[in-house]
Amino acid sequence: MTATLSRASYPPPAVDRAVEPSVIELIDVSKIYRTGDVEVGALRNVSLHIEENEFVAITGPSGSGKSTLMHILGCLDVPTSGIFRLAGHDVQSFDENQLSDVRNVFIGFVFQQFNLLSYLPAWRNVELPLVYANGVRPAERRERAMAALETVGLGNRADHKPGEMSGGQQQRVAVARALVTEPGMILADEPTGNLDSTSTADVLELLDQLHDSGRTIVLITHEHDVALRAQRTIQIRDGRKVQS
Amino acid sequence: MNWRDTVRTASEAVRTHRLRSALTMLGILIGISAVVLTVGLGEGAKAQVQESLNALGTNLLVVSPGSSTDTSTGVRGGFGSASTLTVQDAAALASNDAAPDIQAVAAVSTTSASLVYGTTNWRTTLTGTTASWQTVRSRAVSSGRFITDADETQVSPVIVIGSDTATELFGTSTAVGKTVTDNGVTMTVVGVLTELSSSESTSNNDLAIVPSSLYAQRLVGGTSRNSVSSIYIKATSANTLTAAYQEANTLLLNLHGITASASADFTIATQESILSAATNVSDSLTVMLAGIAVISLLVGGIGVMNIMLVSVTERIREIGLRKALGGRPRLIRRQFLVEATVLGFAGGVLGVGLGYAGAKILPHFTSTRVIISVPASIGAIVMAMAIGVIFGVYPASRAARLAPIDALRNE
Repeated sequence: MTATLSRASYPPPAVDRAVEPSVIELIDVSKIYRTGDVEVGALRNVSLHIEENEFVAITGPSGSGKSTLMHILGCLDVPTSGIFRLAGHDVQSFDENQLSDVRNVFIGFVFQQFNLLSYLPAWRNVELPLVYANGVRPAERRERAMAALETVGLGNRADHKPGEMSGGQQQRVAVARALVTEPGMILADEPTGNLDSTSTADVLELLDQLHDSGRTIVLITHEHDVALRAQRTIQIRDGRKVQS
Repeated sequence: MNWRDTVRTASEAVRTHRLRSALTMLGILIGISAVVLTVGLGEGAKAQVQESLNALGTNLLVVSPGSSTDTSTGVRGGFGSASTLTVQDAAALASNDAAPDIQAVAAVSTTSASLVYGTTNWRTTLTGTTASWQTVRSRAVSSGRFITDADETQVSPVIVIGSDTATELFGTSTAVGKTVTDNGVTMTVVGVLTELSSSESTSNNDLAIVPSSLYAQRLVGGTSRNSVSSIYIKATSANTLTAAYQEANTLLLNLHGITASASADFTIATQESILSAATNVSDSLTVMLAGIAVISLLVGGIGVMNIMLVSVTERIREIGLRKALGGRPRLIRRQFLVEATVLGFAGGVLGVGLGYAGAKILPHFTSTRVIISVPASIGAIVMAMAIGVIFGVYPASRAARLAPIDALRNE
C-alpha cells in the first residue's frame, strides 16, 4: 500500500465525513465513449449535489445514461470532463489504486444481479470487502460479517451458499456486504430489478433503515414506485439531467 | 488481503473447478514424474557402476601396462605381447619405505582356463596372484583358507575358487579338499570365496585363484614369467589415495628408467577415473531423457496458461466484483498468480508421487534400478511451482487490467 493515498491515513485527518457539507458534488460532468470515429455522449454536462444522509433516486429509461452516472458515482469509471468530488476529494485525479481504496472505504454496492460468489457461504461473501480493507483481523472480519447478516435478518443463514437461498435472501446478503464496511454511501443499482414484490419490499425496507441510521443512499431504478421511497428524484434522459 | 487470504482464496478456486484443475495438473504431473524418474534412473545407473567398482575393493588403484598418453607406439608398449609390468614392480611398490601410503599390493595375471573335476569341465577366469590379493580386493573366504605366502614360495598346487565356480564344479557337495586339473596340473581346492551380492558383476563369484608362482611356472609358463597383467594397489585410506598414486607413479617411473612422466609405459587408474568413464554413457542418456522431461513440462506449463486464461474469462464477473469492492489490481494479479502456483504445486506433488510409484514398479519389468532422492523431489516440486508462476503471469495481469465496469457488465 504505497500509493500516494494510503489506506492507513484515509480519510485524511483534515476530512471529517460528518461535517462535510456535500458528500457528492458533480460539476459539468460529461462521459464520452469512443468507438472508432463515432463519439457517443453517455453523459452530458451533468451537475448535481447529494448531501450527507440524503436518500436520492436516479431514474430514467434504459440507455438514458443513468448506469454511466452510477459508474461515475461509484468510482468504477472516471468522467471524460468535469469535476467529481466525493467527500471533498477530486476523484478524477485518482489512480486505479486510490479508486480501489475509495470504493472500499466510502461506498457500499448493491447490484441488480446480486453478484455473490457462488462458491462461498453467505458470511464469506459479506466478509469480502473487509478482506480488501487494511488490517482487519480474520476474527473481527467474521464478527462484523455476522453482525451485518444479523442486521438484514439472515443471521441463521450465514453458512448457506447463495445457490441455497431465494433471490430476496441473496439480495439481502448483498446489502449486508454493502454495509459491512460501514460506508458513508450505499449505491444501489436496480436492487429490486430481479425480485418479486415481497422481496422488493424487504430490500427497500432495509435501505430505509440504513438511511435512518445516517447513511447516504443513492438508488438507481426505472421503477416509479421504487423511486417514490426516496426524498428526491433525479431524472436522467439522453445523458442530461431533467429535473431535481 | 494478506498471503493467507490469498492462498485460501486460490485453493478454493482450484477446488471449486475440480475437473478443470485436475486436467491442468495432469500436464504438470506427467512432466514432473518424468523428471523424477529420469533423475532416478540416472542415479540408479550411477549407483550400479559405483557398486561394481566398490566390489573391486576400496581405496584401490589399478596399474595396467601401456601408455595412456600415446597408444600408437610399440616402443613403450614393451616387447611383443609381454607386459611392461613385472613381479619386481609389485615388490617395490609393497615396500613401506618407498611408498608409506600404500597398504597392500597384489600383482595379478589372468587367463582363461578350463578346470576339470571328474567329468565336469568349467571354463572360468584363472588368476595368479599373492596372499595380499585378499586384502586388496577386500574378499573373505567362506570355507577353507586363502592362498598363503608359503604356497607362493613352495609353488604349492593349491587353488581358491569363487562360490559360483564351486557350485558349477561340485554342485552342493563340499569343495574344499577336492582336486581339479588344468593344463595337466592337479590342484587341491583349499578355499571358497564368500559370495558377493553384487547385482551385475557375476564374475566376482566365478573365478579361480592360484599362487602366482604356480601360475607362472607350471600353468602358463612361456617367456613372460616375470610379467603380470596388472598390479592392484590399496592405499592406507581414502584420504591417502592421491599420495599413494604419486608414490606409485614416481616409483614405477624410476624402476622403468623413464624421466618424463608423459612417456610412461604404464597407466594408473583410480576408481574415480573408471567411474567417470563408466558414467559418461549414462550421463548422456540422462541428458536426453531430461530433455524430453523438460519438453513435457513446457507443454504442461502452456496448459496451465491456457486454463488460467479460460478461468479469467469465465470469472470476469468475479474479478469485476472484487475490484468494485476495493481489490487493488495488484491483489487481483496476486490471487491469480497464486492460483496458478497452487495448480503447479499440486501437480508437482502428485507428479513426485507418481514418480515414486514408477520407481517401485519399473524394476519389476526391467533390470534398471531407480533411485529417487529427496532433494531431487523437492527440486521437482519447486520447478512445478515455478512453472505455475511463469505461465500464470500473463493470465493474472490480464485479470488485473480488467476495468471493473466492463467486468461487471459481462453477462
